[in-house]
Amino acid sequence: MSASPSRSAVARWAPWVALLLVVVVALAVGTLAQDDPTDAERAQSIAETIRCPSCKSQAVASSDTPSSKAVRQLIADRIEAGDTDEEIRDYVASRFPDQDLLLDPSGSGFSALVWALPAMFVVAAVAGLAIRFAGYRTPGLAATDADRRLVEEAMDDEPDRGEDGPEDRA
Amino acid sequence: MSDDAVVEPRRSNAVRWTALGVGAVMVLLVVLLIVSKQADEGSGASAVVGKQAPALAGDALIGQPFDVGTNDRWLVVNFFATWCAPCVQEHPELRKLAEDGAKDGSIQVVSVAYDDEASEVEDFFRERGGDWTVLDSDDGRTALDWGVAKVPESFVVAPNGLVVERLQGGVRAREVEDLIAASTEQGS
Repeated sequence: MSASPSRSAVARWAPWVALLLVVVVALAVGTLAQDDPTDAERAQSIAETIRCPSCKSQAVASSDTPSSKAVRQLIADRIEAGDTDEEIRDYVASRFPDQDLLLDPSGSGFSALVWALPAMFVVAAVAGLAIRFAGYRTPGLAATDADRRLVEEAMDDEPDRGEDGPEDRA
Repeated sequence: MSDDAVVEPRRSNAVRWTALGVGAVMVLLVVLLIVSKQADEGSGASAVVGKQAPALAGDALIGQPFDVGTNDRWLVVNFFATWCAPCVQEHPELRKLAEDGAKDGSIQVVSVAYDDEASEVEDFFRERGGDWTVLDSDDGRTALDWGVAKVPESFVVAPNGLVVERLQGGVRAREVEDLIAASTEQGS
């Protein structure tokens, strides 16, 4: 007994819908259920995205140089004064225009490519795979009556051909 | 015979061109990254040169509290630390600059101690001479406002409060005097 077309479509899409639901719910819980960070957490998070002005590549959060200590103090003062994270980061970066202090690349200009390129590559890869896999789908290959007749004839002919085969002639 | 022939997988031109395109983009990005980084590092740009000097808000460790724009002399703002060898080396030059400037009243030197102890600064000046004002860095805030991350570093400030020049590393008295003379001539 075969399932109706609508029931088979539901059965085929149900796992994908369930998967999508799980992903959406997980993302929603992960992003919306977070409490507002404390000032100390904000300060730590900002300090992790600013490079120590007198080091090569260490973040001010993990550096004990005088300049890093000064930046950490500045971050704390500015948070207390009500500045946003972006305002604080921009101010520190503006003090050292000859250095690239922001470890988290900005979303504008040339740095925006850092964010845009991976997304573009993922989209292109998924599109490429989809196009490739679509080509693998073969049209219905069910054997026709003519195919079956051909096979039967070939099977019938097989013993005769065996008698005339190269081994017998030899 | 033809049944045994190895069938080579056909590689489409699209795949080849895509691979070449991705490779070319990657090479371009690496080149751009290197070039832009070198341009940034080689610029020597300063946050304060050509602008009004930021405040000198630190407490006075030696001398009287002081801020920019309180007199009509050229100002040399020197960031230093007692633990920094190049700062020790430049000290005689700063002394000469302060003494020459005091004679004709044209130049004043002010130092800002960078991540240092008040007692160390007092000992430093007692041993090596110099009687100009020394301020603390206000928890590093003053240094940040001036864009200073390493010492020694000095700034030449015009009497109108405009920062004229940034001098990274130890200063030379003659160099600073010539610079001020040239800037004064340009301004007059």
